[in-house]
Amino acid sequence: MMPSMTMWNFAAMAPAWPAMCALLIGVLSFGQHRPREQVVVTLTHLALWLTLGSMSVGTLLWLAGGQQPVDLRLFDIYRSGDYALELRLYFDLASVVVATVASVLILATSRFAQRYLHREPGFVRFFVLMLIFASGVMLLVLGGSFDLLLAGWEIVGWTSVLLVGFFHERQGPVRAALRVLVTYRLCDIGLLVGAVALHGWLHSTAYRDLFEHVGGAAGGGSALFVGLCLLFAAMGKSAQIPVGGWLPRAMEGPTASSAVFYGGLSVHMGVYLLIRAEPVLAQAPLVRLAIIGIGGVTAVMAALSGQVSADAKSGLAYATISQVGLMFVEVGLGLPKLALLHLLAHSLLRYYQFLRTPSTLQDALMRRRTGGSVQRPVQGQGASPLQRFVYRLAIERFAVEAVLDRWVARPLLSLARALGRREDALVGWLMGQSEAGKESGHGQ
Amino acid sequence: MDSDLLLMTLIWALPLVMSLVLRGQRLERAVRPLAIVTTALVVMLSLWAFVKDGSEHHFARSEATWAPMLLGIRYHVGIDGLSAVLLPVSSGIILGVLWAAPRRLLTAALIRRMLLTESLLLGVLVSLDLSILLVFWVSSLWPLLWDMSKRGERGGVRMMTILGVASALPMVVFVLLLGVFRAKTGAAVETPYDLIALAQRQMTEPLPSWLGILVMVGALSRMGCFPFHFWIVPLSERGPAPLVLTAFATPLGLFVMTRVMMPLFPDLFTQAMPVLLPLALVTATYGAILAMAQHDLRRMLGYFWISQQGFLLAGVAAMNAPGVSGSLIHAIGTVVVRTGLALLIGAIYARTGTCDVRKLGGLVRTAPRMATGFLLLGMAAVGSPGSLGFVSEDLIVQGLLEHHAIAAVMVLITTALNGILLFLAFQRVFLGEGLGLLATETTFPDLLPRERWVAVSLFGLLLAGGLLPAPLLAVRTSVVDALHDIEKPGLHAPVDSAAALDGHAAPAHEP
Repeated sequence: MMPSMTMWNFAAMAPAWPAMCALLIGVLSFGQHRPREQVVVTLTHLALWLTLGSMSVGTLLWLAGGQQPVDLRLFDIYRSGDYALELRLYFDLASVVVATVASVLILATSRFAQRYLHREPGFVRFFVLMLIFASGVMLLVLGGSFDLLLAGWEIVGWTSVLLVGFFHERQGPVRAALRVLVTYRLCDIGLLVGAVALHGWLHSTAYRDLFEHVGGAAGGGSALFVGLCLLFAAMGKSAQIPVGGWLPRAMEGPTASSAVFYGGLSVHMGVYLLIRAEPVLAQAPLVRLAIIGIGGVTAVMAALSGQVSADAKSGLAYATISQVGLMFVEVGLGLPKLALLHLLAHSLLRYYQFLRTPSTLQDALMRRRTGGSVQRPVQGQGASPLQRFVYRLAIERFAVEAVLDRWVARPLLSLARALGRREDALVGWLMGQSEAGKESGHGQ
Repeated sequence: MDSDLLLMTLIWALPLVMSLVLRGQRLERAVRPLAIVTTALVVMLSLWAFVKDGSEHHFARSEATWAPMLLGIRYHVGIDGLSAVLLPVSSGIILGVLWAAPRRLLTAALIRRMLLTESLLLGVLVSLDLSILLVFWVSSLWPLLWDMSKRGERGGVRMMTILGVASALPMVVFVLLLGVFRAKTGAAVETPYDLIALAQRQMTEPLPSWLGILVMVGALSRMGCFPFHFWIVPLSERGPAPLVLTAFATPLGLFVMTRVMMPLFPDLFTQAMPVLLPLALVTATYGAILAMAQHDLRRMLGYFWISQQGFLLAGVAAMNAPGVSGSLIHAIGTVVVRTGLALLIGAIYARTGTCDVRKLGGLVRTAPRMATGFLLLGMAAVGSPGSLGFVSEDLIVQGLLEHHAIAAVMVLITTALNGILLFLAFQRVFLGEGLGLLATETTFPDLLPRERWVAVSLFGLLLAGGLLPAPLLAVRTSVVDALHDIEKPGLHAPVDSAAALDGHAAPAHEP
């Protein structure tokens, strides 16, 4: 019994190794000189190998246990009244497979980045963010409750934003990072509310309780509400219509992080969330319908937009969105295992494709030199009106962003400015200065 | 005089004495170092008090039996789980401000006023007699008002006067009326203002709720909740930053709510809920939306501050264990975050002469540590996992969930808006190409070592609180336990009602 417990504890360290390493590198960077590249790389590899080791032990133990789901309750992070946040990990087919693949992909990325980002000013920053991401993703996947999934989800979101804005001296990446952040923050409300509502409904967000009680718990309305909230969160992270405009822009980040985030892991986390929420979805057929609808429409629209993309990375981004849309459809149809298989295959393939994009031009040149076929732009003369219409729509990305800007972002800012003017006038009056607030200047 | 009394008196009296002593031309240069040493001593004393009494969930009571009992006022001080945490945090924050604020701002006169303010704040935290508490409370804004009038900031003085009147007048009236009320009911009591005695007595002879409303108005004004929020932004923009940070280094409004309102008027929160909760949500949303339209970092931080006050009120209004402890923890987190961000913004202002984001940009190239500090504090402010904010926001939302699900959703939306706001500010100030509008753009200095240490300590505090929140929650149990009688009226009411003040101290205090 004892050795098994020790081994389980070692397996449970999977999310902790990268976090500790990130903290260590952070402390090392605090001094006047930043740590040498070799030190950073060695520490990172050590932590990531340990993570992979922990995951392997966890997988073996899970296999040895007859592939039964294991709910590992470690300790209470905090407790107040009847409410407690427990640190518990959950090992089942979905979590074991995804977490193992994640630890392999992150390790590979770190090997790749070691040379790819050599002598880059943000070298240390990249590795620290990658380690924090690793920690977040392991917590997200292995966490035994929606509360922990949420914590991992937020960590993944922040690192994603910071890596998109990695080349911060240019405006493009910075704007893209803001776009990612806004989408994530707004869609994360879905997960937050969903987790909170789940607490209110079942008094727990642990998967184990969910699997045991959700069937017996009456509350189609609650299931519908929770399901829709979680769907909204999943749409944001997995870049589904209408909140998917951030993904093609997110390609501004370094290739290595684009590959692991938007080819491999982060973009699939929405699907993982829905797979985890399967017991809730089973109670809410309407949510299933919504998932199928959104996934299906996204798959078609992204496939069309991908066809007309002028650069390799955007094309790949749309292709990814499209495939993830299909995974949504699979989850919606009640085929989580198929979705899981699709997720794994897709993340591995896409990860590799993303890593290869910097060589696209070289590949094309090589093909031309060796006399291979070269794609030429298609001329539009022979196209039917329908084809032209669809082409136009696709190249405009179906105007989703314009609509969101017009109807969501702008009204909010206008409201803020109008309220600000009122407030300034009032404060100026209270202070006995009619000109107060003028200098503060509202509006752009 | 016993050691407890000496300790608690030293905590508030030391800065007061130093603020009076540090005068004269000859001491001009030594004022800052001496003030730092004094505050560091206060921090150590408060930490000692925290270690000694904070974990025992009860009041370390000390009474000066020798003190003259004029009109029943007597010098009664003590600490419980709540003030035990607030004392070291508040004095630590003031120490950080003294250390890291731009030296140009820290004139000898300002430092003396900071020390005076510190003394008055800590005085509120240790008072167990309502009349003493009132004296500290009313005078705690005086140094700031005095400073602004010396500077000729007429608008600021008017604002401070409004705040002073709105927060002090209801409390003064409350204390006077309380005396009259007790005299009328014929209860011949030696100590009509002793908080523990009052809390015990309210179980047999409850006080009328309208008296409690006075305290509530005073506390809400001091918190800066809508519609009493007008003073925050002008103060944040134009006030003398180090003194403003000192004056608001303790969430005093919330403290008085839990120290005076909860034990003396246990039912008032339940009665006032239909007003308090909407007020909280309006405050949170209003601050968050308005902050979006600001170009000046100090104004933006002011509105962010307002928004956070809404969170605190929402947690308290939930009136259950997670809500109230979330709110108390959030109060500490907010003060730490606000101080850190204000110090960084102050450092930017001292280096460039502007806080206008339209003129700033690309500062990360020469000041990566400042950028990192700003980002980390900002992330902690909006409750990123691993920070204290995550714990407190989670608790507040869980507290609201049971009966006010919509409020919980609104709090979450506001958090999301705050996150976008702070990242937007970070992006516009630190990232991008740099607009070439600043003379110092290429030579903009990074954080000085003293600034860096303070920023790292503040962030470290938030991180430690986020990773190991259990001790922080444990020392707060005294306040939270008192809620049980409110949650289950009739069941434990006679026993637990005084617990907010009395904690678990077994022998009841004899007045």
